Amino acid sequence: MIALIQSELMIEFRNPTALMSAALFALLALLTQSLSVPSAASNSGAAFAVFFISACFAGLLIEHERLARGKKTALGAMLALSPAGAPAIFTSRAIVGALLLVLTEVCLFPFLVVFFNVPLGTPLVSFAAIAVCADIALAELLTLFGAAGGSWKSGGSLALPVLILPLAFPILALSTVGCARAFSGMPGLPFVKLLFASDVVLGVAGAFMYGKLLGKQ
Amino acid sequence: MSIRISLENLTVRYSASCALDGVSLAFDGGSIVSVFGENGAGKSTLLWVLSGLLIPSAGRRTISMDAGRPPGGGRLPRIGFLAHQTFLYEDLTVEENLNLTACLYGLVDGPDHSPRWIDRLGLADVRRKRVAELSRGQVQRAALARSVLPSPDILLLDEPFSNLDSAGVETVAEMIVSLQSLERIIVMATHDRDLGLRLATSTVELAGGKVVGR
Repeated sequence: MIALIQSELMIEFRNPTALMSAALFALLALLTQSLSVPSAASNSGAAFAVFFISACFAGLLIEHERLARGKKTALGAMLALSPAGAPAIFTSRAIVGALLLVLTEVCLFPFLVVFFNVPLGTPLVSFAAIAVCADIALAELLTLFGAAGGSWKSGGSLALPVLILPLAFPILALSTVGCARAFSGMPGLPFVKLLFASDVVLGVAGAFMYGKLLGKQ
Repeated sequence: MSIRISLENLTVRYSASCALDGVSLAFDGGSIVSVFGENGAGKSTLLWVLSGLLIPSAGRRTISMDAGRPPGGGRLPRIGFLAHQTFLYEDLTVEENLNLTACLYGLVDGPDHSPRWIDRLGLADVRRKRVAELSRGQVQRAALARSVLPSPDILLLDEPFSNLDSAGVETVAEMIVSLQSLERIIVMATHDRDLGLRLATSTVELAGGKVVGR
C-alpha cells in the first residue's frame, strides 16, 4: 500500500500538469466569483460554496489526468492482475487523491482569506476538519467511479462527472453549510461527524466494489 | 503436472463481431504454446481471457493447481502478462516500476528482486530513466521484465518480440526457454512463425476466432 501511494505521488509531482491545472482552475473560479459578485465577499456561505465546488472540479481534473495516464498503459489491468487486495489498492489511490485535493485547497486558502474576507481564528480548526473529511469523501468517490469510468472494459464510455456530481452534491452541501456555520459562531462538529460518517460509508463501499470495477477475479 | 488451464467452448463477442468462437483448449505445466493467426484472428483476446481480465460471453476457463504445490504463489496462480499495453507507469523509472511490481506481488526480497531482470534484459543503462523517455524496444524489454518478475505460474506474452532488435529477440527467446518449468505455462501470441515454432512445445492456429490447427 505504501509503495503504491509513494509511486502515485511521485508521478503527480514529476508531472504536475493535472495538479497545476486543477489549482489554477479552482483559483480562477474563486477570483471570478469574488470579482463578479462583490456581495459574495461578505457572504461566507457563498465563499465556501465556491471553494468546495472549485475543489471538487479540481479533483475531477486530477482524476481525469490519472485516468488518461492509466488507460494509455492499462495500469488498471496491471493492478487487477497483482495479488494486492482490492481494498488496499482502493485505499492507496483514495489517499493519494485526498492528499492532492488537500494540497489544492491549501493553495486556495490564502485567496479565500484575501478575496472573501474569511477571518483567521478558532473556526479554522472546524474548517480544516470539514475540508479534510470532505476531501477524503470526494477522493473516495473519484477513485471508485474513476475505476468504473476508466475501466478498459467500459471503453471510457462512462462520463466521470455525470457519475460523480449527484453523489458529490450532499458532501459539498454539508461542507459549505458546516463551514458557514462554524464561521458564524455555531458548532461545526456535527458536520465533521456527518462527513466522517460519509468517509467511512464510502470507504467500506469502495473497498467492496473496487475489485469488481477493476476487473479483479 | 502441477498446473493446467482448460478452456471449454469459449466464446467472446464484442458488439457486432465474435472474437473467439467456441474455443476449447487445454495447456499443461511445462508447455510453451505458440499461438498463430492473422490480425483479428483472436490471439490477443485469447490471452486476455487466459489472464482472467476478460470474462468470456460463454464457456469456461478453469485453472487447476497441484494441491501439494510449494509456497510461492499461494493457491491463486500468479499471472504475468505482456500485453500490447505496457502496464508500466510512464513517469516512473524502469527500476521504480519493477520495485513497485515486486511490492504489489509481495515478493519476499521486494526491490532486491528486480536487478536480476534488469541485467538479463539489457536494461542496466536505462534503469534510472523514466519509461516515457525510453525507445519502444526498451519499453518492450521493461514490460517483459515486469511480466516475468513475480515468477508467474502462467506467463502470457502478446507479441513478445515486437520492437526488438535481433539481439533483443535472441535474449527474449533464451529467456522464454529458460523460464520453461513444470510449474509454469507459457502462452505467446506471435506473428514470427519460425521463432514461435522453434520455441514452442505445442502450437495453436486461430482464424476468425476458431481453432483451425494445433
